[in-house]
Amino acid sequence: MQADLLLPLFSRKPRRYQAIYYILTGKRTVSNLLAGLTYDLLPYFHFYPKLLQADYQAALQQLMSQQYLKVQSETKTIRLTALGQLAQVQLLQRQIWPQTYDYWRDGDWQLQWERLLLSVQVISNYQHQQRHYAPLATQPLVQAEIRQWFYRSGRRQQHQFVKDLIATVTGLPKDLADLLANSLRSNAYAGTSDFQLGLDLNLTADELSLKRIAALSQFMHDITFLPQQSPLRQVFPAAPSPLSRGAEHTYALWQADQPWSTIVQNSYQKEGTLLEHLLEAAILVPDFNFESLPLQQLIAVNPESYFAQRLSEIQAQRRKND
Amino acid sequence: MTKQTLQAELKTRFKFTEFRPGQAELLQAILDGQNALGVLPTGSGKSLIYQFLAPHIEGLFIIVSPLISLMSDQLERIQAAHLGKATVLNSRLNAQDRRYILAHLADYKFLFVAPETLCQPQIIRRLEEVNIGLFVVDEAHCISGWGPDFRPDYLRLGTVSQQIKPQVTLALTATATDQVCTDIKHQLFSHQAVYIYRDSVDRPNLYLRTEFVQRDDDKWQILQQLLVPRWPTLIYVATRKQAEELALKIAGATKRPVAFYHAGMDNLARQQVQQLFMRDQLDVVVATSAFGMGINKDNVRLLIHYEMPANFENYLQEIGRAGRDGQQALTLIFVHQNDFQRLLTRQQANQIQPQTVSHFYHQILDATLQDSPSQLDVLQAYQRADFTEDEVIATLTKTQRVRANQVQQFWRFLNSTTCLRQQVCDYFDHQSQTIQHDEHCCSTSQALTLSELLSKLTLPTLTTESPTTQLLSAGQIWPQLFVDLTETDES
Ligand SMILES: [Zn+2]
Repeated sequence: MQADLLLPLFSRKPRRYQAIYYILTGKRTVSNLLAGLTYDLLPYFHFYPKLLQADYQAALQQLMSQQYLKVQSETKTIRLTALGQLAQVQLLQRQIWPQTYDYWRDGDWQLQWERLLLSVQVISNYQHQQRHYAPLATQPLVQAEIRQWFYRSGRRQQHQFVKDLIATVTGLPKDLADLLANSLRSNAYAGTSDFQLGLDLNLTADELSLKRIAALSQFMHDITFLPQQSPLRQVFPAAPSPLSRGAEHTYALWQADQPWSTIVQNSYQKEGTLLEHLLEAAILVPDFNFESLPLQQLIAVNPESYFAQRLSEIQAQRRKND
Repeated sequence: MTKQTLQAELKTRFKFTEFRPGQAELLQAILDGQNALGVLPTGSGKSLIYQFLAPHIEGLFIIVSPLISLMSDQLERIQAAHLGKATVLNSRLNAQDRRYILAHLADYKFLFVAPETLCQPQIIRRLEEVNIGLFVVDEAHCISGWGPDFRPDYLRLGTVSQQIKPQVTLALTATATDQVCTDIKHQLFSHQAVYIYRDSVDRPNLYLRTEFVQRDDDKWQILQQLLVPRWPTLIYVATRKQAEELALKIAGATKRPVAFYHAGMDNLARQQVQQLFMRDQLDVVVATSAFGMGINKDNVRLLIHYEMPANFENYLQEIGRAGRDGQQALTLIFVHQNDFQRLLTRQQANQIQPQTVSHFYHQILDATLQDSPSQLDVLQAYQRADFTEDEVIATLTKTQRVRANQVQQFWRFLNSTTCLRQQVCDYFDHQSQTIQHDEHCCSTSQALTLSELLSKLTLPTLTTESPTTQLLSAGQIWPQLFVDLTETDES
């Protein structure tokens, strides 16, 4: 991995680098999510799901030897040096970092990317009477979804899809529009290799991937202005609940005003786990009610507890971010 | 079924007029209900065999493949040819997709599976409930400790086969010496009767060439000379980094559309390079050994080994990707003392030490294993195959010896002055033929200069318009992707 592309994840204030690694690879624990909230990196959850610990470490080492980062071994934190901050600013000016990306709004970019490629391929090939081709999606889930989407859409919807696609891409800044359009392909149009695309846009392979996410995320944002029934919009399912299944369940009971003692009694899980579910909701649910009476009662049981301490941390942090 | 009936079906279903050597023979044997082993050169259409059999044999076809990239290539081709529903089971699949596939096995005709996945008890249990028509073991030489690609997980395939009870089993490989064939028969078929088809490895349309260089930079000078004519060109290098760097160098120095290819790229990016190369939209691909298996480009005219492969087997597989259309192709390998040393160093670094094995078996923390996930993978594979610590050490010692021996043998070949093609045949063929060496056969740079050679060989160049390396704008792309855009605007 190209080391300098990690710079936007750090600041002049020390940050726990392991927590950042877990955020990038999508390890969902309260501690990681809270770090994400504190560092304002929550949107980058699951951003590099395939990043290897060894590669991450090697990249940090490189940035340290370049005097961009300074490590504090006792606290296992890293902060940007003045030089590093300068490099960070320069990188951000190059418009390759996906500033608008938000995992909780856009969903897994890898799936969304495959949805875009495959829907374009399917429509283009259909229009050119091409029936035999390998799908531009590796995930069976995406393949099944787009197949169903395609069978549902008639001639009119297909035209609408093309029209909306062109209009949305045309509305992007030109460099993002060209990058996106040059990533599409079908039997009728062979497209270009990532290598060539990188050469022409003067981007390395890693920079290209990053800028592609930037383009995708802008695109995903723009299609939300299309009517709900737009066939293009239907290619991209709305982001599911931000909560894990367990937290989702606990939070639903909580929302339904079940007394905490009942929730604990009826659950197979330990109370500690259920409290973590609430913390997860406190971090991720947009309109989480910190002032509710049951919550205040729960805090009052033991204001010094891990739960109460974390909750107030989360609340303070969310207030600050808003 | 007679060969004529088979041929008629080949024409209607696959639009080919002739079978490649071995295909018809293996099909006949399998349709007669015999287990079979096919030793067929790379590019001889091994996958056509099971594709052909799909409507003839009821039940699920399981195809075991050692490499994930290989599986997705084959899967894509089956999907493209619409021969039946196909899917992949391997470690990359998430739990949700995996559950979905296992629950819907009956809907599939082809299941590509990694050996370590296939050997999992819950997968076997599920497969025992399903009617298995054909069990294909691809790259079957991986079962042999005498081959260069030995994989412990392959050892269990014989047992698995007895559990899932396929109607017929077919083992396929491109490279197998006598010793490896014996191992396959023993391990996979427990010495039952097996129909064997073995083709000669000789490919008369491939010109073999060794190019001796003194300095690393000499390679680049020679390469530039070779890249002048528009021959579809495949260049093999040893590492991903080399692939990327050389592609960049070529892009800077020539106008030829070029790309790199290695296993570190994601599936879709790899697929894109393959397809552009297939359509002659890319002239040159710089690749690691990940490129090739399952790729059907037939007009590669120039194939270069920029670095030496580890053995005859890899060399043969890789040069086999040139000239599949039967027209002449030039395969050239650089010979450089440093390459040999580098290869030995790489091999030594990858060797698993007895102490590491011992640590692994006694669950003692081992720094090597923490730093090298691939060594850990190998040891886990041995453990899954029920090897004891001593057996692992003995097997590793043996494979290391085999490997060292193979490098030496290959290095001798590279430095030899007798007919190169004859040596390749002697190494692989069961009953080696005598090669009639002529000016279309082989040469070393010591005997014949490159310019002399190039003037003698008349390799066809690409006649299509040279693809542009300039990017199109979004506005230029839409009319190529979609038809009746105007109608869209009006509606
Ligand atoms: Zn010869």
